[in-house]
Amino acid sequence: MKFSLLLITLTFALHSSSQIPESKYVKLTFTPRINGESILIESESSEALKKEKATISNFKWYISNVTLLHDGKVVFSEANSIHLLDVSKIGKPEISLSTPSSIAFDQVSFFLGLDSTINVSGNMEGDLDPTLGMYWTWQSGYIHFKLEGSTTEGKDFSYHLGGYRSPFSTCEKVTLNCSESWNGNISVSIDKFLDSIDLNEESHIMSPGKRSKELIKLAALMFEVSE
Amino acid sequence: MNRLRYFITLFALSSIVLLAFNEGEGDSSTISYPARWPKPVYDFTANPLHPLKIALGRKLFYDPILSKDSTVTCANCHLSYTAFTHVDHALSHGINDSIGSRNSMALVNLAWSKSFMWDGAIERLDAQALAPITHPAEMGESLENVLRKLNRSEAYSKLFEQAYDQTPVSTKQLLEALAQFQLTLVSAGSKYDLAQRGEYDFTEQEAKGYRVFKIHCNSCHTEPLFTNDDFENNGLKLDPDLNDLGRYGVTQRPGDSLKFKVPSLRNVEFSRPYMHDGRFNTLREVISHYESGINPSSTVAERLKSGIPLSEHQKADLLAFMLTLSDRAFLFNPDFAYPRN
Repeated sequence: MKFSLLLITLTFALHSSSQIPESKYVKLTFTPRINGESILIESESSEALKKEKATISNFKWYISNVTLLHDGKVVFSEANSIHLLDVSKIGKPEISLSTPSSIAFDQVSFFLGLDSTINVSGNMEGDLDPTLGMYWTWQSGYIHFKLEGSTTEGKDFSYHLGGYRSPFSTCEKVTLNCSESWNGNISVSIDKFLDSIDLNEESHIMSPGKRSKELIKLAALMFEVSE
Repeated sequence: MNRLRYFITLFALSSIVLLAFNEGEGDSSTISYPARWPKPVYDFTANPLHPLKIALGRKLFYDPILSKDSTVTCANCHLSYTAFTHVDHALSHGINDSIGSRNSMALVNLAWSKSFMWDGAIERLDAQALAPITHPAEMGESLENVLRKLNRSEAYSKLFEQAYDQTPVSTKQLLEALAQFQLTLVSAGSKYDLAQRGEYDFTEQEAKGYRVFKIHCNSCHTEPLFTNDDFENNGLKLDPDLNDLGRYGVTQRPGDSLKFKVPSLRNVEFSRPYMHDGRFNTLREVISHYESGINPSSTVAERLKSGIPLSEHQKADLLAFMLTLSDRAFLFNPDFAYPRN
């Protein structure tokens, strides 16, 4: 009798716990913008593009170590958190986090780039595959941020920001505050980055070093929560 | 009682012989090397050796499919008989007869290196092959194209699938297979090595040369690998045409200017010409350089700045010792040469 009671209780407990959804998806969507307008790569049909300061032909970057925080404490840390976001792909670049359903957070934090461990001993698969054009062949390391295009005056620019060797590490931490009802949209304001560089003086950065490190800090400022 | 003593002695002797070689915990997924050597730094757990993968890497090493116009293989610049380097060439050349900017390095005992290339630009063996494959003056190809060619080849598709149990051929598989073959290139059978194991007696000249070596050369060309795996400025004057600042190009630290990776001296008898730009054709020139040719620029080690004082006798002795680093079993190992199947 006691045993059957135990069995029934257990069955109930297991059954009821399976009724409560245990996880949900938090989607972080990255929208590249110039002067507030969303841009698509090589979309010549858009009227807005003619007024823009630049045409972007290539824009990819690595995001890693994504965490969600509440009151300054980490409430979720993504496992195997390595993502290559590529604006030339159809649709918006996004990251889907599988989190506990009860989660509440007021900050999202991530690295723009990859830490040195991944640079030196990552598995070279998936988003880390060198065929994606983000790995330097002549020197160890990933390009963390690649932005290529030309201005309306026809000046070409090409920024390949990367490198992990101290003191020129370009893995930059980004922390964004958000409301608890935030929809996960992040704006990536390209004009903010281009406005802080003198394109006439400096249109190409193709290797790690001091300038790369300085520019990745500016690139990090492109990311903003849009509510 | 005599019988027991006999068996105990036999047991003791076989243990000593077995202990002389360390199999890395008796494990064929890694390389074997003499017991007194340091442990390799390569992470074999991430890429455990397997005969099918080694054979595949070896086939690729000798295959011009990796180059844009199918004329250049890894072996072109890294020939097994000549210490896995390119003899008689100061600077290596690639497709369309293009000349590079540096001398090809000898591939040996790679599992113990933390970095690769004369300036240490590459810090993982698995990634090294990307550099020559894509360099316009070497193989001039793109990684995507190489994978396309391999996937189109029936022979390679089959070999990769057998080795990795996966299709299609991927970057990771290609790089790991090439790394596996290169990791097997272990040289530990020279006269020097036999002498260390008590299986060879140095001649009087070789022994004298060894003493000179230990006093003057060992701090950079450290036994048993004959390199300290670090970067040094050994007093070579800057060549104004090549303008090669070595390690500085990678770290941008002024203290690294004109520093280059210390190459292993194993098989140095066969790896001429010498130095990062192949400026010395003979070992005699090298020894002369250290004795009286040092350019004492600021990043040269203090102990080298005024040269190494050597008499003519000592130079000859040192040369004799350096010849004991030749390992013919390594150079002519059929498992390392062009695959005949």
